[in-house]
Formats: sequence, C-alpha cells, structure tokens
Amino acid sequence: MNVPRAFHLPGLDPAALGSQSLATTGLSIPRLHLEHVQAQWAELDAAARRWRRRSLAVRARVVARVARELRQAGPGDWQEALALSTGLSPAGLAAAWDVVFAPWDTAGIDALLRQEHAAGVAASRWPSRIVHVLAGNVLPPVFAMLARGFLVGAAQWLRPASREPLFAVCLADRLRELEPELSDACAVLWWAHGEPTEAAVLAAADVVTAQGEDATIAALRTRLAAVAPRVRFVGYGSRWSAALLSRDAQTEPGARSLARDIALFDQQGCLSPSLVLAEDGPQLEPWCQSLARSLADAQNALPRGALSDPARAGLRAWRERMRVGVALGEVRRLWEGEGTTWSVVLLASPRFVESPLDRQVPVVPFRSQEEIEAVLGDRRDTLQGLATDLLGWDAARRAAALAWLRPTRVAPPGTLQLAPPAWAQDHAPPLRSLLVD
Amino acid sequence: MTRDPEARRLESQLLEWIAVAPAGFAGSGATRAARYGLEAAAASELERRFESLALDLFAFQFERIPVYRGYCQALDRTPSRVRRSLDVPALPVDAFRRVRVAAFPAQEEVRAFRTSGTTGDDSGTLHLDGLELYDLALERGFEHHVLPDRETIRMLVLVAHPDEAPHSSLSYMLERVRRRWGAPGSGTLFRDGEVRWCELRAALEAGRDAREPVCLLGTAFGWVHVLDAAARESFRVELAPGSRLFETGGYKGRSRELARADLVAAIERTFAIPSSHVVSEYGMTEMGSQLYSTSLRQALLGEPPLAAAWSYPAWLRPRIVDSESGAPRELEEALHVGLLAHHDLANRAAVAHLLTADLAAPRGASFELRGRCPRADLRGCGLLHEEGSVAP
Repeated sequence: MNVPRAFHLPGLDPAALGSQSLATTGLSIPRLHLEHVQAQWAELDAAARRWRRRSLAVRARVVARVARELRQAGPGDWQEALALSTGLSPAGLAAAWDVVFAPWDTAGIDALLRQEHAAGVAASRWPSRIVHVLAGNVLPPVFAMLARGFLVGAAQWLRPASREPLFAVCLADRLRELEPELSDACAVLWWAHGEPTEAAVLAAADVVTAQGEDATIAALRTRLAAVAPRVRFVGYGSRWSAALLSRDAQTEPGARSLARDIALFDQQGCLSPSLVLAEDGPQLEPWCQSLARSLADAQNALPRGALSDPARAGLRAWRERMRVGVALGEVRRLWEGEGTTWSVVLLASPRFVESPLDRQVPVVPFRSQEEIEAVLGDRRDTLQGLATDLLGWDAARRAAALAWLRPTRVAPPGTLQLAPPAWAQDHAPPLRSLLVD
Repeated sequence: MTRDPEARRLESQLLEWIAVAPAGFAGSGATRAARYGLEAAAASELERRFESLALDLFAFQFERIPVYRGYCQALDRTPSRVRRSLDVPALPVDAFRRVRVAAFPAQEEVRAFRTSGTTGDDSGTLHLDGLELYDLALERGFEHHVLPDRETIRMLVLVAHPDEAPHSSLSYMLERVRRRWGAPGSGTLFRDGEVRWCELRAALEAGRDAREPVCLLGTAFGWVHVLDAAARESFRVELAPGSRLFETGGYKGRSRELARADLVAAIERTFAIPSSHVVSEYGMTEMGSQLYSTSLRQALLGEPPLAAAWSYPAWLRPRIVDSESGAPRELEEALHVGLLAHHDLANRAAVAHLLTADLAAPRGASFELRGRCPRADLRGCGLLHEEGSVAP
C-alpha cells in the first residue's frame, strides 16, 4: 500500500522517536514516551492559541472554506491508500468524500453556532485540549469531530481505529497546505488501548470523545476514570438507522434515493439504513423490485468495496438463512444481486431481522404503529437516523410515529447521510457537549 | 425403526456400506483416495457408491422434508435436475433451530438430540427414527481415530452422563464409546454441572498406579477448567504410556481461551500425555459423523503426518462453499476461505448435506478451520459444559 504516512505529529521529529507497528496493518508509526506526549501537547497548544486569536466568526469561515476546498480537491495522493484502508471502492470513496465535506458550508456552520448559542459561551468554558477516539467504520464523524474542535479553538489529538487508520492522517496532511495553523493544532496517532501512551494523552485532555462499539466505549470510560477522573467524556456508541415509508411513498424515485443511502459507506455507518419499515399493501412487492433494481444500478455506478473472505462468507450464510426463510414462509420474496453484492428480503410478516450490512436489506411490512413498535422493541433506543417519506399520512400519524421512534436525525431518502453540522448525534449537542465546567 | 419402506431400503444400504468403508485417513497424498490408502479401482468404486447413495438420499429427503424441499425449490435444484452429489443443496443448520427437520413422522421418533444454544429457545434438534446407523458411524470413526491400537482402555469421561443430559449428542456418544471400549475403572466424572475433581484425581492416580493407559474425554473448555484446578493444587500425574486425551467443542467464549498449542502443552505437563496423543474431534449435533485430528494414528501406527488437516470417513464429504456463487466446491478445488458444508450420508433421517457457520480454508483433500463466520451465534456440544466449574 502506498501510504504517505500513518501518523501526524506536528513539531516532533519522527526520526528521534522509537517505532512500532500499527496493530496488524503492518504500518510503521512512532512510539511515544511521556516526554514526547508532553512535547506534542505543548506544540498543539501553541498552534491552538494562535488559532484562537481569531474570532469565532472568522474560525467558522475558515472551517467552511477548508471543507469546501477539501471537497473540491478530493483525496489526491491518498486515493489508493484510503480505498484500501476504508474498504470502499474508488467510486464509493469519491462519493463518501463528498458526503463528508458537503454539509460543512457556511450556512450549515452558522446554523450550528446559532443552535448552540456558541457566541454567548465564555471562552474559558470551551476546552483547550480535546482527544477524539475514532471508530473505523465511516468517515464523516472524523471531520465533524475535528471541525467542532477547530470551531471551539482546541488543540486536538485524534486516535484513529486500526481498522481505518488513515483518513484522519490524510485530513491533517491536506490541512497543512490549506490552513497550516489547523494542521499544527492537531495530532493523529494510533495507540493500543490500555498502553501507557493512552493514559498520558488522555490524562492531559479537558475532553475526550469516543466513537465505537458500546463495549469499547464503556472500557475506555473506565480506563479514563482511572487515569483522569476529571476529564469530561463524551461517548458515541453503536447506533443504527432505518427507513420508514408510507404506502404512497413507495415509488421508483423513492427506491432510487433509498438505494443511495444504503450504498453509501456500504451500509457501515450509523446513518446507513439497515432495515426498511414499509407500509404493507399491493404496491410493496413491486416497490421492493424497484429497490432491487436500484441496488443493482448502484452496484454498477457505486460498486461495493472489496470484502474479506470471512465477511463474504458471513453474507453468504445470511443469504442462505433468508432462503430457508423463503422455504418456511417467513420471507415473502428474496431479490439477489450477483454474488453477495446486494439483496432485498421482503419479510412475510412484521418481525425484526438483523442485516449483516454491506447492502443486504430486510424490508419489514407493517400496517400499524403498534406493529412498528412490536418489531423494534428495545432496538428503538439505539435508533440514530430515519430516512422517511410518509406521503399520505396525516400530521397526527406522522407525529405519533416519529415521537415513538425518537431518531436523532430524520431526512428524506437519499439524504440521510448528509447530516448537517448541527446534527445532535446520539442526542448530544455537538458543541455544548464539549463544554467544561 | 421407521415403517417407511424406502427409508428401510436406504438404511440397509447405508449400514452395509458404512460398516466397511474407510472410517478415516490412513495414508498421505493430495487426493482423498490416497489418504484412504486406496488403489484406483477401489477409489473409483468408493466414489461411485458415495454418488449413488447421496443422490438416492437427496431424492428421499427432498420428498419427505418440507423445509428442505422448499429450500431446494428456491434454488431450483430438485432431484430431477441434480446429477451429482456436489449439486445437492446444503441446508443451513440454522434450519434445525427453526423447524422440525426430519424425514419421518413424529410418532416414529426414538431419540432427539438438541444443540446447546445460548438461550432456551434457540436450540436446534436432530430427530432420529433409529440409532443403528448413528451408532455405527460414530463408533467406526471413534475407533479409527482414537482407539486404532487397543481393544479396550480405561476411559474417564468429563461430560455429563446421558441420564443428566438426555438430549446431548456428545453425552450420548461418549457414553456409547465408554460402554463399548471402556475397561474396568472407566467412569463419568461430571455430575450436577461440575467435574468431580477429587474423583478425577483418584481415577488418574489409580490409572497411574495400575500402569494402565487412560483415555480422557471432554470438551476443550472443560479441559481448561480441569487444568486450572490442577495448577491451583500443583497436581501432576504421570499417566502410563499409551494414554490419550480426546477434546472437542472449542471454547465458544465459555472459558479462558487457550491456543491449542498451549492447551496441549498444559496437558502434557499435567498428565504426561504427549501432544501426539491429544485427539481433536470436530462434530455437531446435526451430523451423525465426526471428523478427527490424525496425530495419534501417526504416532501409534507410523502413518505419514498430515499437517493441520482433519480426517473424515468415506461416507462424509466436507466441502467449502464459494461465497459469491453459493456453490459448494470439493476441497481440492476450493480456492478461498468459505463456509464449511458437510455431506454426511449417516444423516439418513434428517438432511445429509448441511451448511455450517464454520469457516474453513482448503488444505488439499482436507481443510483447516478458521473459526465461525461473522455474527454466527455461539453454539455447539461444548456448551453443555459452559456453566461447568470444577467441584472438589
């Protein structure tokens, strides 16, 4: 893999540091000791102080400009390395790249600042140092976390996931050309959970944010409490998304839009619909056929990324279990793409079926709000986003459905992944959740 | 035994063949025939017999098992279209959890073995209308791989007796082999969910004092519990040469996990059983036959070594499913890691060709296990022991 670099440590001389392997990737990264961590924080602090001299409004404009320029420039030299590390196809990476930066325009950032009354917050209440522990499944939160930190003027340290260790480095690297002050105010380095570097980095922070599996978040929270009990912790755990469609909304264009939501990030993100709740009726089966066609088209225009042998075997196992469902009358119909590329599984009755992701879509028919509630049960509590088109429903019925589902984001099919900067992931206000007492 | 005349006809043919067919590898080479130590003509006859019985069995099971028939129809592979065993659809074992998979009416059932699911309602069941074929397959495989050198041996079983676990296929199997080959001093040392540690110690010491080889039988995570208990008491025993240990079931998150090399080293340290005499078994409730590691035969009989490969009987054909096409491939032709399927002709009463959730990499005429496919639930015989600690 042609990787420009797998870390970003502004002001430190990598040649003077020891080296280690980044998990099982084979990538070489520096190994830091306590004095290196302290030196790095000092470098970041100095850059952040310079950056904070600009007003909030100016910082917002710079972040918007940087997002626009990153969006236009594309991954550049990082294309090949990112395609491998993200597992996305080249076309998938290009589409994902666009989705990462598109929402961060001036209007989006202004809306965030207004929503959070950011201008009225005393500067001393914003954190000076933030550490972000990133998940490895999707890209938008990486830039979102970084951009929030830039807006509040913090020095930032990002710990990427071993599963996708390069996007954060790529961002920091590209920022060096676009806005060196921002590049100098953030470091990116992976460490093994629990190793001394982690404690040294975390203990020096004001705020730690973390994204990932619930167990990972809980373990990090415990470790943080042990080494730095006063550090604020903001955890974003495992969440999932669905689509909710009324009978009248089951149209060919709607299917095309939803297929895009499903295809982006190969269904790996918390805003990727992994289940479709569709009002039952005679139009449902033809609509599923449309969704299947749209997923087939998406496979041509936006091919799924390469999967490991075990992952493909997992999809095969799921597919064959669904076929058993056909035999048992639990599945009304199954549409399949070539190989394991995609599938649409129309269930015979309202019940929950977990998708293995990577473009495999169970469609649950329902006739009433009660059936939706019975299907989801406690899973409602971890619902993040809802791609929804409730055409034909009256206001009361819409309100009842959304009030029960309580997603953090509701958007028309095709736009669910384009979360604006003001989106309150996991119901946490994006900026105010960073405030320190 | 079932009253179905076609079932009786097939059963009779299968009994006749399984009684004489190779029960496991006895040689080396890239092909199955070489590993069974067969000349070309015998290998060809073996192939012909397997194909013929597999297709007969497919037609029989297709006709009698609605879920299997529906699955085959969904794949558009019915007996009239299938010409070779490779194309017989492999039913996901998940089906056994969801519906009764049996080629006979419920009133003819003589035994039911349940998989050990993680909750009470997700276990699958193997329904049997007779035990003759089941017993023959398990005994021939066990004898070939675990007792190729002896008429009897002192057997210490560390899995619940069938009286305590009537639906455990592993309990049934180990009790069956204990009755068949167990010398005086044999016994089941697992009761009320616990290994009876004091009794085990005493039995091991008795075996040592009598200078008689001992065969220890249990699950992998059961052995971890026992080895931990032995380590706590600094207990070691030098068992007589020829002693051996049978382990099965993996860990499934039910105990501290030990790499097999570490498990074997601890066994050698504690019981003086050499690594070559630790026999791994791979089986599942839904299957009538088992697969084994081959190091014991190699050590005892001087057979050529087969690295990281499972030995299996001639009436069982493991295959690896191509993830993209969904088609099972013969091991010699498989290219990638994929789901493991087993075409087990001893499964006359249920479905012969089964798709597991185990991952395997092809290794010539055999395979190497690569764990469970992502998101597969914990399950398996070994779970019977999951609550089991070691009692004094």
